[in-house]
Amino acid sequence: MTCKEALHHVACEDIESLSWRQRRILKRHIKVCPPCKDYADQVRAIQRIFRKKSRGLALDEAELKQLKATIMECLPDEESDGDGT
Amino acid sequence: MTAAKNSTTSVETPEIVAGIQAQDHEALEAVVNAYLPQIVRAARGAGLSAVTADDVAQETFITFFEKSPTFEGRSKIRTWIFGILYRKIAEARRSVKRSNEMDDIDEIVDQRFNADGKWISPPRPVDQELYESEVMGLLDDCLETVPDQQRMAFVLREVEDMETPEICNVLDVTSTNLGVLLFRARNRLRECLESKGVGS
Ligand SMILES: [Zn+2]
Repeated sequence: MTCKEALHHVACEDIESLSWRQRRILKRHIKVCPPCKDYADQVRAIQRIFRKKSRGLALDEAELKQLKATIMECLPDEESDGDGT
Repeated sequence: MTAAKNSTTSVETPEIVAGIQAQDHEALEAVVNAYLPQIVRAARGAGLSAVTADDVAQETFITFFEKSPTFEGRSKIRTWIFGILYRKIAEARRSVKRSNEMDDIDEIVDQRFNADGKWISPPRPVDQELYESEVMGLLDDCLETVPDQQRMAFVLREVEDMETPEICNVLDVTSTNLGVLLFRARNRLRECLESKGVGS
């Protein structure tokens, strides 16, 4: 496995499509190849921080309640006179 | 996380699907309760301002209400709603800011390797702790450079923990396309951060 191939597998996240043997080769490559390890570590760090930041964007209870109330005002009429049964 | 997961899986039932089709208020409300927090978070994660994200979340559910009689239950309810959200975000972003159409990231990555696939321009080794703290401060700027579809793929994968088939359904892409979207999002972010000198 070349470094370029290793990078592609890491970034495309297509590990599931690899055979068990290829997965081992990839894991081993990243472990022993310093630049590929640097790359994989950085990608993982970016993902971790993105998750942390994004989850911090959640609404608080009060905001959520208010937004929900606005949405619920737009509920369609329950008695549908549509196609009958 | 566990609590959130439990509350959301509980609406993915045949009874709720039937309720949605009949526009039953209780069923619709259960879906709003289950997915509103995730929808708002994803809209914000996709780069919309807090106000726009709230508007888009609201429009998403209104469209969901309107279209509910046509829901066939072939996908999960969540997948369907995120699909609506994705289209709303695309609309909102187009009106706010022109989406970044050029995609030179593949070439940038290619240029780091020789013909044998060996690094000629390896990533700069960084101090992991310093790297993380700097990423924290500069990630938002770099996220701005990621086109909508790539960013949404990244949000659904990393924040909402969706599996590949569900993301492919939401974005209407193949799994190969999804790999390309994630590849570009990750490399664009990493390259952007490196160009800003992060971690050195
Ligand atoms: Zn390597």
